[in-house]
Amino acid sequence: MNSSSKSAALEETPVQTATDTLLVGLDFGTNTSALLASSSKSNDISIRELIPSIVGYAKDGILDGVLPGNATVLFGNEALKRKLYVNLVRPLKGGTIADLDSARHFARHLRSRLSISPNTEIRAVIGVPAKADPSAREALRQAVTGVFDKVLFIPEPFLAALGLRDESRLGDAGYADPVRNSLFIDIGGGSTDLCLMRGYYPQAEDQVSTTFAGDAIDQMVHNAILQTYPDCQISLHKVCEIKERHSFVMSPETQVVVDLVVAGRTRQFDVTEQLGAGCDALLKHILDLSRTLIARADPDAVPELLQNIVLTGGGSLVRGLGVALQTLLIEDGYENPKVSVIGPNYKEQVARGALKAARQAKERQWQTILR
Amino acid sequence: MPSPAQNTEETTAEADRLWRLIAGHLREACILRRQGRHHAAAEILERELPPLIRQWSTECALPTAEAKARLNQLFTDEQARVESHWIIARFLAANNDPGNAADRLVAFPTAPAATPSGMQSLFAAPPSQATSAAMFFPAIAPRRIPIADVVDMIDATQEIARTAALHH
Repeated sequence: MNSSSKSAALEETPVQTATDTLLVGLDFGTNTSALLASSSKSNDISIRELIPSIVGYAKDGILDGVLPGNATVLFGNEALKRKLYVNLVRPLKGGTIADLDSARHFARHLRSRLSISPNTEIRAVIGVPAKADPSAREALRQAVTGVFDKVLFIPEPFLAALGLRDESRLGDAGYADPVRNSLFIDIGGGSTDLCLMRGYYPQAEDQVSTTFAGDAIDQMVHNAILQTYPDCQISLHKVCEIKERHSFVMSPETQVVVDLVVAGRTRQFDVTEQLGAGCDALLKHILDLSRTLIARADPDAVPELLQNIVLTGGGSLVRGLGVALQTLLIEDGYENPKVSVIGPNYKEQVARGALKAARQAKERQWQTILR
Repeated sequence: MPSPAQNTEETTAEADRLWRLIAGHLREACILRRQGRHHAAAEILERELPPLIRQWSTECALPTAEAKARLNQLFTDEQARVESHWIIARFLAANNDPGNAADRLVAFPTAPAATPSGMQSLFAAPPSQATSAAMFFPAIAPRRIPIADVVDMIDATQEIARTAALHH
């Protein structure tokens, strides 16, 4: 990694006197980060971005003109597009900071997306994983030091609950409040979290989690492919790409045949079975955990709860996952369950919840961090 | 007759004096409770502190919400300070005499029914699955907080983060 470019990007920002306040809602995600921003004086959202949480550091000896503007650091899609010429670093793993330097660079990149006037104070509410311990919070605080003026760290399930609700429609007869009585299944990169929503912020008995999620599927599929085809060269990143494009549960629409490299030559490999096994394992995990949580719900509330099972997060995009879960629940004897898929919008829901929290936070609740 | 300026200065000085007294009493109560002297702690919390707080509220002339917020912050800070010192003391005791260290720790009692509402947080909740889990799963709300009550949710989040930091 190019250390001089890293230190150059970490220069301090001069202190300014604030005359306006920009509120930011941020979901600093393992795979993708969602950023929403709005002036404190307006309800309009001025910035809305989803950015892959990845930093690319220019490899040593790259020729002039290969990277745009001879950049030493690239972010998100720009970095992914030029992965041959950069060392890719994911700042987060399992929802928490795994590489502080790249996390700080990425946070500064997010700030650069805000296009703010010089005397603006930036206040950010940032989602933290449900199980973030004090060191994880401290690492996140360090990552955003010098980026935002004031911050609040709030657990993601709380922000998701807040973000999913449309307060302006609560009076509508036709509006089903998504957090009144529902089961949310969030399949992320590092963990799969199931949460009963019952009109209040989740408590201990409302949540169950497993670390079997997107990254675990990638690893499982990677191992299975290498076991079947020991000569092929495949990275975890490539497995993730295959999964995002072809993943399925139960039965595939077509066979999954991909190009992989063997000793420098490209060949085609059928990875249907390996990919299916990984995704089916995820289905089994969420079915087991759903049974656990449904059993904890008030029996009188269960019929309505079964009508509101919601799959969210990147993992919810596995083809057929919602239908498969619904089918298995019916086979299991649950009465008329209905599973819906929110899909990738979940990231924005957390950020939206964060922005709502930022609007309502009291002055005493904001934590000041040095610029 | 004192001038208005003198009056203001005296009021501020008296409010400061009362504030220091409240902080001192509160710290003492926390330490007593940690030592297992619960009756003595309750005596301070239930009899000595309330009149001091009433006097201070009158003298400081702050809006009620701000006065409450300052008191809440003081309670939180003093609790954290005592907890922090207690953990250091426990660590040192464990190093000197590991066999007895655990015995010196005193379980927190639950709040007596008559405890003033602002002081309930000085007492630990009764042992339960939720309490022990909350140390490891900071996303668990410590009480039923309606989705619409964002301010309370943020308070609870910060309260849990502080507790987790103390136990870390």
